[in-house]
Amino acid sequence: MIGYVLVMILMGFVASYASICLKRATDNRIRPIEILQSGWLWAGGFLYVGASLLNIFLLKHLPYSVVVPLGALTYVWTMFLSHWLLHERITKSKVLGITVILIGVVLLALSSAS
Amino acid sequence: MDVKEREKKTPEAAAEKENAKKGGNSQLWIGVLLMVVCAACLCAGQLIWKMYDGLLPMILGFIVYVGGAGAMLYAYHFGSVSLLQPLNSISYIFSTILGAVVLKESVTPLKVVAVVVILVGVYILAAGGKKEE
Repeated sequence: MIGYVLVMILMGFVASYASICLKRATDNRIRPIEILQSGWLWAGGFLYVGASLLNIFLLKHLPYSVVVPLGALTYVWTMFLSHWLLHERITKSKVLGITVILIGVVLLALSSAS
Repeated sequence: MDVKEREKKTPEAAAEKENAKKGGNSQLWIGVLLMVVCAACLCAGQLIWKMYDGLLPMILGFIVYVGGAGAMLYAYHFGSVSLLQPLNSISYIFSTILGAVVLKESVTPLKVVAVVVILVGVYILAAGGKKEE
């Protein structure tokens, strides 16, 4: 069980770090050629695939209604990682919005479980 | 230049500060719109995979899926990732609606409440971001 918890934490972290990389890829680039040449794009894409594989692994072993809300915890990871690495601000509306979304996702998971 | 130092000087951190001074991120709505497109593409891609078997639907679903990822990539150009990434949760709303309409899945009151709650969260993020970013 503790193994699954670790995989879940890892999945959230990897998915979140993937979006940080993708954000860096488009930071000050807008032309497709430039974005494709950015190492951040490939790093982000690679991590994204990795996170998806972890997600599939978890879905095989744990109930859907547990994995999906935990997947949404990625948003929380992103809030902290982007603050730390990209100096994005943690605002009240971000905290509130993400909290409300998480509640909604948990409700949705509960509704498909029942 | 070492990584830490470069991170401190990311152009978008400076842009965010600049935006805050001007009293809002006027381009944020483009990012929000692109995230909606992204969520729609992700759901459409998955629906194609679920509904049809064979090579062609698989490829078509993949193209739609990659298109969605591209929309997300471009969305990040127009706003902070901590605001835009959670908007991906719109895909939960789309898949619930598509599930009900196309796959005739049952719509329970709890599902409706869940969708509305997610929508409220998305609205708080987008509306708040416009003011604060």
